Amino acid sequence: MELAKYMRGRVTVLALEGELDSATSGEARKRISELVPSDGAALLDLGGMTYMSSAGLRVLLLVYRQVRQLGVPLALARLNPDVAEVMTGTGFIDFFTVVDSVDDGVEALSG
Amino acid sequence: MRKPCVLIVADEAAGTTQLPGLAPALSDGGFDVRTATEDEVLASDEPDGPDGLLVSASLGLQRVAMLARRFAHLPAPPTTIVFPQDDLDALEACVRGGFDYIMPPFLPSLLRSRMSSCWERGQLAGAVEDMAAEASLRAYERDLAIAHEIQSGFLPEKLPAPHGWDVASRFRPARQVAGDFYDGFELVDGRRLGFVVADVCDKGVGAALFMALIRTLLRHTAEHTGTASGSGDDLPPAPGSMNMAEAGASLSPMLSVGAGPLVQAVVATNRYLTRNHLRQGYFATLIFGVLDPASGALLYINGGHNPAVLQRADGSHTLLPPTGPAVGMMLHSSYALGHASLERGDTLLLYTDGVVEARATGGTLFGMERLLTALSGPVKSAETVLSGIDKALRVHVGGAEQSDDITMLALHRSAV
Repeated sequence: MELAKYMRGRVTVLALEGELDSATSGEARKRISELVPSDGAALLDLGGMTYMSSAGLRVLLLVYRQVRQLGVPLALARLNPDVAEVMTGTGFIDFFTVVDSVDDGVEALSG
Repeated sequence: MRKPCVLIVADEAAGTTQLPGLAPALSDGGFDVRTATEDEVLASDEPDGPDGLLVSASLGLQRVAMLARRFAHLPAPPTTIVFPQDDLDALEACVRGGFDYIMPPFLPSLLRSRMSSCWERGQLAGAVEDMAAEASLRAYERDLAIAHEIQSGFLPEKLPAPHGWDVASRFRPARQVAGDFYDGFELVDGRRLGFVVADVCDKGVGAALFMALIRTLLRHTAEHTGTASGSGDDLPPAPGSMNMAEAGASLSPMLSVGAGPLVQAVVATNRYLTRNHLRQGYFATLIFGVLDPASGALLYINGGHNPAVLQRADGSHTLLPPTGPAVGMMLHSSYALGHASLERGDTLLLYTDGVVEARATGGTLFGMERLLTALSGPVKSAETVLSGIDKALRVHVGGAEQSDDITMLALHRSAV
């Protein structure tokens, strides 16, 4: 899995690419948690994700907990249909603000 | 026969005066002798190493160790032996650091015998290290085998089969231990059959530990919740959980008998997990069903799990989709009760995502459509339903490795 970080104003964008499963989730969790900002807002760009297993959902859940504790708003952008289906099925999607594009996410989080 | 090859690395800074006769004595002793500087050895990309590496102790323990490591990746790394060049303290430090040594005077027969015993000791040390590594791997495998055994104890030994019903199951972990589980047990003095299929997120030992916890919480709570009002006197309802009076009101009195244990089990398990284990982030998707074997009435909660399939005797089917989120994700999750009715000849299939996401060698998923096709024929028993799916899975997956746990539970109501 690849992870990139960049700023859009006060919004920290974390772009995830590749597969998030049991094999990659340990490292992904560690790296994402290090990059989550302690203020401003965070946007996870999942447009490059090709596969997410339940281990990946667990990573997202832990990120969600982390931002909740920090009081940092979080949104998810560009969910591919497969990932969206898994997140919908588990009821997971209801906890997140979901947007179609990074621009929409930045706008929603900056408002 | 090939002569054993010895590479001598002297300390250039120490001069060569203190090496009287080492190389000639080794030659006379039957060795093929080469010399090189420390830099040459470290920079060399030659694929082969010598049989013996003779290093000057004057380089100091660290540099000696670095030279020894240069060949450590070889299948048969050379034995490293130090010799004193001008400094006996340096020799002592290297010997204390674990290196074997030779001392002047260097005489061919003495050297030969000394070198061969150093070599044997080196081999022995290597063998001991290999054995230690193997032993630790064996210990790890044994621990996993024990974990596997213990986990089997968290699955039902036998599934209850009420009169007029038959029940079958499959449980195939992708690894030694699994995050999946299934369960089946009697409730309300045998008037109801409780059954569960669940999938704890992620894999391996972590998921297996949470599997044991979640199975225990669900079953224990279900078995110890009263049925009177369905509210479960020992546990106050959680904020956000469904209002039991309301749920009970929408159900006939016959149905609501099983509702209390069902709702309490799921809500209390969710509450326990989110209160005590939130940090660890484990959650489970599950279906918990409570069946009245006499009438075929079914109550269920689907917590974020793959929809169960209710296959009708006439060949049609109904899906039982989620009625709430996965268990253990959020404190205030609410769960609605689903209900259905199994008539004679109907079959209910519960499964985990390892079934629909089983991949063929090319990566194609088994998918819902293939599952429904495998289910569509006339049904003789729960067992034949599962063996039919097993067969379809085998055909689809071919030689590909099983990547996720596969769990299935089928309940079939006899046609007559």
